[in-house]
Amino acid sequence: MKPYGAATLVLAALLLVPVSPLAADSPGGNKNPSPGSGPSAGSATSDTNGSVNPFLPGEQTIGLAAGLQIPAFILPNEGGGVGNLNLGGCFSFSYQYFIARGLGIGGDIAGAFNPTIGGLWLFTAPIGFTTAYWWAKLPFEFSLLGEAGGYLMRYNNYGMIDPFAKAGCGAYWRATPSWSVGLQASFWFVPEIHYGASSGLSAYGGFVETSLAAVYHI
Amino acid sequence: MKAIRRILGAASILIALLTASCNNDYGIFKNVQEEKQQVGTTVFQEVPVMSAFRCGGYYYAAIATLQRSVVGQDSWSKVAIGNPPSTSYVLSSAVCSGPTGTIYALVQTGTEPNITVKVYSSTDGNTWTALTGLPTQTYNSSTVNVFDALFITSKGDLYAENHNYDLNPTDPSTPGASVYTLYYYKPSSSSFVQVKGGDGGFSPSPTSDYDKSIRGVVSDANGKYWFASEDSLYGGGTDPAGADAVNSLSSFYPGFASIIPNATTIWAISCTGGTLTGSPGRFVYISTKNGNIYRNDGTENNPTSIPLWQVFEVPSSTAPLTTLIVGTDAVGITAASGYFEGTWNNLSNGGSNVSFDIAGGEAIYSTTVQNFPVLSFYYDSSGYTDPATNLTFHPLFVCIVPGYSSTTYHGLYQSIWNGSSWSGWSAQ
Repeated sequence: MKPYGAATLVLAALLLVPVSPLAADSPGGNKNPSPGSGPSAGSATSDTNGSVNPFLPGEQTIGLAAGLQIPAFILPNEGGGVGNLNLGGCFSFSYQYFIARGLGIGGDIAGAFNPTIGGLWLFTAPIGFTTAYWWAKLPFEFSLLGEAGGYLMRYNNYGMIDPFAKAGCGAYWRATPSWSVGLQASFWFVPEIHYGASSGLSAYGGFVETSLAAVYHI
Repeated sequence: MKAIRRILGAASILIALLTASCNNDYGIFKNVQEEKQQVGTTVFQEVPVMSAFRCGGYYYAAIATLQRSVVGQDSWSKVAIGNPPSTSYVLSSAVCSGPTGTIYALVQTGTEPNITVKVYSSTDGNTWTALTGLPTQTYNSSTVNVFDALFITSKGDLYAENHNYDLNPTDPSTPGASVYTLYYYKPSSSSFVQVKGGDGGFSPSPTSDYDKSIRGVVSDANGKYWFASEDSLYGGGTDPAGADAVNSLSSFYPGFASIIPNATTIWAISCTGGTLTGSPGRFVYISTKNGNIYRNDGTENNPTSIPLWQVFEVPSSTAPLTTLIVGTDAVGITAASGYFEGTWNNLSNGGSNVSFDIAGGEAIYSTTVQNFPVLSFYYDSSGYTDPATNLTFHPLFVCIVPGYSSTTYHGLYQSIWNGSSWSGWSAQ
């Protein structure tokens, strides 16, 4: 693993530290905000310690993110290994709908590109179904998410479509009643599965995404 | 929500376009890991290389200057040319009569309108002598009449192309009609003589198209000379300065006389063997602008529809122990540049038909030569011996137009044959 990959994992771990999800629903918090109060300033200001989970059923978020795509591993490790992939970029667009307090489901579409040492590009575009748990210690918000779906990969005019999985977390600051901004980190599992006579070409890639994110609360 | 639907709809269309191909037989992560970083000299970084060859103890590479490297080493340096030698020149063309022969360099010195064009020869790359007997060169504001290319056969016969055209004073980018003439350097009289044939001369028809220039000269295993321009093929005689009339074409390729009238299609003429292996040429090939190759045994091939350059022959570890390689000249065509390789009946540019032995793997081919036009190959049949291993190495050079998209691309790559396998392309 490259040094910046390790650093990113540490950053991802730190994002998990500040507050546990259980603390968000600690005794004394306002567990029953009035209908329609939403995750906005209304609920935030209605609770003096700010630890209530403000993400209520029926609410929605739209997220935009852009950042760094860090190659973590390729298995089996052959030739130059993951070192043949350089630091790249990524972006994503996501939507979530809360079906229970703090529990959102939705979709995410993303794109990532990594230059190779030979001057080519590896482009990965996953799309998936997302489940996330959100909590807050206002004005800060946190999330844990898991995603499953599929991805399209392009390299040197060749392409693959295969399953995809992602797990990650985020920490945000509620900048305005409608907008939160923060940092996200997630791990991408990118299996490249071949069939039949080409099954020997199957390989598995791992990437760490770290991005700046903006979340709009509808 | 309407905006979301629009964005998702656009994303779906994008994905549909991108998924037009899914390649189960191509390992993306496998090829990524097989890539190698190409670290060459800045001299050839994003710089087209016209030709490479060996002369004595040096490998030479022709760009706008002449570069050379000691055989077996990696560093390149600029060659001073002239009498006295100088590094202030523009190189038009350079050839060598053989691995231990004489090197010839066609250089321009001075600035417009006072440009001087000379052909120098040298046996060591250090001391140069100007060849005499060149026709008068004219290079002024209205007329250009200069030598602009050199050709050499496997027997060491030197030829120079003369290019004559009128400049358009109001628009220099659209010059007047060009006339190309071929001259043979006659050592016995130390002079250049015009190559003439039965119809009065080997001189392609006047045209305003620069492409209709002389494409090359070869001598075959029977000592016959063949001369090609884009719209003419002459030859069949044994006089290096006497191109026979077009009626001898049938001795080259049955029915060729009926093909050539279509004209404007000859892109290259080549001879396998010869300077490549040190043996007399076995076949003469005519490659065309539309991707056909004609061989003088009466067979032909149509591996592509894009222009093809010379056919070369290099060793292979698998039967028939030789591989044919044919560079593409596809400036502006991104679909398939690089080179075709394989056997005469199975030439292919990548894919399952190609072993990628020369390149060292498909990933290395993809990141070096694949996307660029190939100007020439050179295989050092003499090679050099590594005293440590006692192995003899034979470099194959490929000269390409690397474009300007990335500094990772170079104009000159080398793959070394060690007697049983290739090292794979590495930037020079």
